[in-house]
Amino acid sequence: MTKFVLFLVDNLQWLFRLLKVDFPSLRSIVEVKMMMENRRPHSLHQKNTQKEEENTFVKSLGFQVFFSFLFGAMLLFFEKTAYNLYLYNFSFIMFMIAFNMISDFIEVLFDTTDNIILIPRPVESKVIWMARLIHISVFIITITLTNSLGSIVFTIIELGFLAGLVYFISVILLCLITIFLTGILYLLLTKIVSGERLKDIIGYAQIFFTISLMVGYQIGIRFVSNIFKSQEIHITWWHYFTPPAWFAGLMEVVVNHHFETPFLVFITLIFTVPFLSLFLMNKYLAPLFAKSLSEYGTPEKIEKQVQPSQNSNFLSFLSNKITKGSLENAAFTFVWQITNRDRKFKIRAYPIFGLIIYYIFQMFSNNGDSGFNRWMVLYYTSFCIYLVSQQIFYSDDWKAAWIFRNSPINKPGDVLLGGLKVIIIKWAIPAYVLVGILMTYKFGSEMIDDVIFAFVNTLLYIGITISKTEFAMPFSKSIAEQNKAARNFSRMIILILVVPIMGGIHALVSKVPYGVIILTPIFLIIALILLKEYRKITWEKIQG
Amino acid sequence: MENLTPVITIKNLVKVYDSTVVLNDINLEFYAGQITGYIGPNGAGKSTTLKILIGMLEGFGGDVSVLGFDVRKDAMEIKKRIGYVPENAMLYEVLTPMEYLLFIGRLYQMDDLTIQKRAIELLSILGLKEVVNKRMNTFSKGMRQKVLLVAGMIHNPEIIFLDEPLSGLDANAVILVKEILAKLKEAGKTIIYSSHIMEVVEKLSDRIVIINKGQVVADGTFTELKENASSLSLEGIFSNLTGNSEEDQTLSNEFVSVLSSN
Repeated sequence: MTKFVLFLVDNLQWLFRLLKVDFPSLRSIVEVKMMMENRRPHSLHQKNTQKEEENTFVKSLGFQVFFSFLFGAMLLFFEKTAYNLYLYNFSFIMFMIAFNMISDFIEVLFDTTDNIILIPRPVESKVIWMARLIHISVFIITITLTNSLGSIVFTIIELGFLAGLVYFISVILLCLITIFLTGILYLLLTKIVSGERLKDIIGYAQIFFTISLMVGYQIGIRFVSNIFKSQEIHITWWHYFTPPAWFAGLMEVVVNHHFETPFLVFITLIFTVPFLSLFLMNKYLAPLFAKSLSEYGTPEKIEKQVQPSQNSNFLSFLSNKITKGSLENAAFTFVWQITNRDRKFKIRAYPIFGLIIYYIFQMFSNNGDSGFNRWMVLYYTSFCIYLVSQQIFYSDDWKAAWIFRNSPINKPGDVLLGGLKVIIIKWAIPAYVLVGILMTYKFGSEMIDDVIFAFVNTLLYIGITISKTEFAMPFSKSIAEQNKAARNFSRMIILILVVPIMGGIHALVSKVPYGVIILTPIFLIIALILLKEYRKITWEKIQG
Repeated sequence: MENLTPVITIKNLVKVYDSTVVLNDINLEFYAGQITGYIGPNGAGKSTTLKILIGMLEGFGGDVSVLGFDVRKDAMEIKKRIGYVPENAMLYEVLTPMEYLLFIGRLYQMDDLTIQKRAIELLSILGLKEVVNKRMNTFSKGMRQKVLLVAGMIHNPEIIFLDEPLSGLDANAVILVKEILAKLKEAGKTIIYSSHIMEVVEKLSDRIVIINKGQVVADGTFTELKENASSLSLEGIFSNLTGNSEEDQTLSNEFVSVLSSN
């Protein structure tokens, strides 16, 4: 990969010299950037071993190539109208580029290590900008081609070589636009927000994209089936601002020879915007980047301070009410605060709730079996809460957990129970209150006892974890350990089976008159007893 | 200092961030073949001065020239002739020391053979021979610092800027680096040394500049500083000049009394 990129860079030497970019320095920086790209862990290829891996980037692409063929196969169902089909196709590719950028590349993009290493060296800012642009381009072009490979193949099979070639050129031009948009976004964000705020924005964007990928996949399937049904083309004003629509228009022209005005406008846009982007990048973005580099070293504006506020009063009120003893109280406050502020925790935990949105959507849209969707909402919520509860053991700062061993804690179970109470108060109760409100709205008040029973079952599910042989202090395990645990197949199966079993019991009990009402307090008592058992956990059972 | 040749000249240097004056009319000269300790409390303006001198920071008032080049106009010429070891051990951790140094050397237009030869020799002297081809993400802070030291000097610069260069090094490595700096001085290199470890600054520096609240509050040899101050150690002089000695006493008393209170 590195060699191939360097081969291209070497062959474009004339261009860089024309742009008055110091070529030897550029080549060295690009080489190092590509080496690092091939060694860093990627979101779709995280082995997390200590082994010194190479070509991690290429390996991470395998899944996307496979998926591109699955996705591209929809082109085989082409009937008459290319526009609708390709609008969806190009939108998907742009979404995948954005998803990869946000989930995988953005931290590299905004990494300031570059600045401190390169600025004191005799390297012009123009070279640093060009190297960064090449890095962005390699990433985007590779991701785009990977995700469009299946579509290229199926376009050739279904519509012929010419259509395949036009599709391929479209993808390349789409890359240029994306690179330009990324450049603008990069400069805009580095200009208007400080480091920490930027990380927050990236974090929320990652959560948004992960959720929309999960929900979008489900909804997308239905959307595609509508596309197959509809052969009519509806072009609205916003299509003129969305590149996927332009390229879909080009495909319509090539396949069906439709030369109506909107399609001609689209083609004009295709052949002006990418090249205009190139011109603007070199003319305006490069100097802007140089300026932003020269401002590097300027102390960041003081970040907002975490001040004792109404929130902390609320937290202290809450922890005093629901915890027993100072240790459990301290653990409750600690876990609450870290889960509020740790960006990585939020990125891991919040997308878990994504599919609930889908099932709620299904429940309200009267699609499929409403009974099934109802159970899915109730028990997928339970499953999500269990998954979130497992996240409180992992952290990037896991080494800081030495403090637990170093402190005079003789009842580590109190710490664990404090953490579990956060899960219940912060996620389980609000989630079921929300689900309860939505279900009552949809099905009437008779759902309330079912919601309460599902909530109690969730408590029971958490309580049953007392049967584990090993426990861990909050935020004391590395993310690498989490991935190892996730690969434990038998554990995963048990985890997945518990929820349908609970749901099955609920379904059976609900058929017996007063069954739910009778069992709810019984299960609640058992859950509370099990949770109380946590207090008895000793250091012998704690890992690490 | 009459016969010394100035290699860095700073005239009326002013730097303002938003409305805060970080450097307030600094006038200094640094001389060839000297080690100058450039010290001050946190936020005094040390790092800002260094960043301006090495061409990392623009937007300042006054005139600054390094080796006869204007920092504003000829930053590139200056960068070719200076070396910089930053305070934070920032390096590309997924690279090996050899790959990293090869990269840095190339940015100074050095040929690969020279870089490799120098890298292996310098790293071996600092005890990193065995790990030359191991990725740096498993390195200790001291090992990374050694790589940074080599990276700052591999191109044999005329002036070396060091910001806390002994950070994370073990006692033996500290002794070795101090010896190296002394030899570099003998070889005619100019060294600007910034640190919070007063003992090292005191022993190593030919001249000490103390900066506080953006202004130079003392400038001279250690002996000259001692003559003008009531303390015998640099730590004492520093504390007096930056106005904290009495306050430190009060604060330390308060600290202990808070611990003993109920």
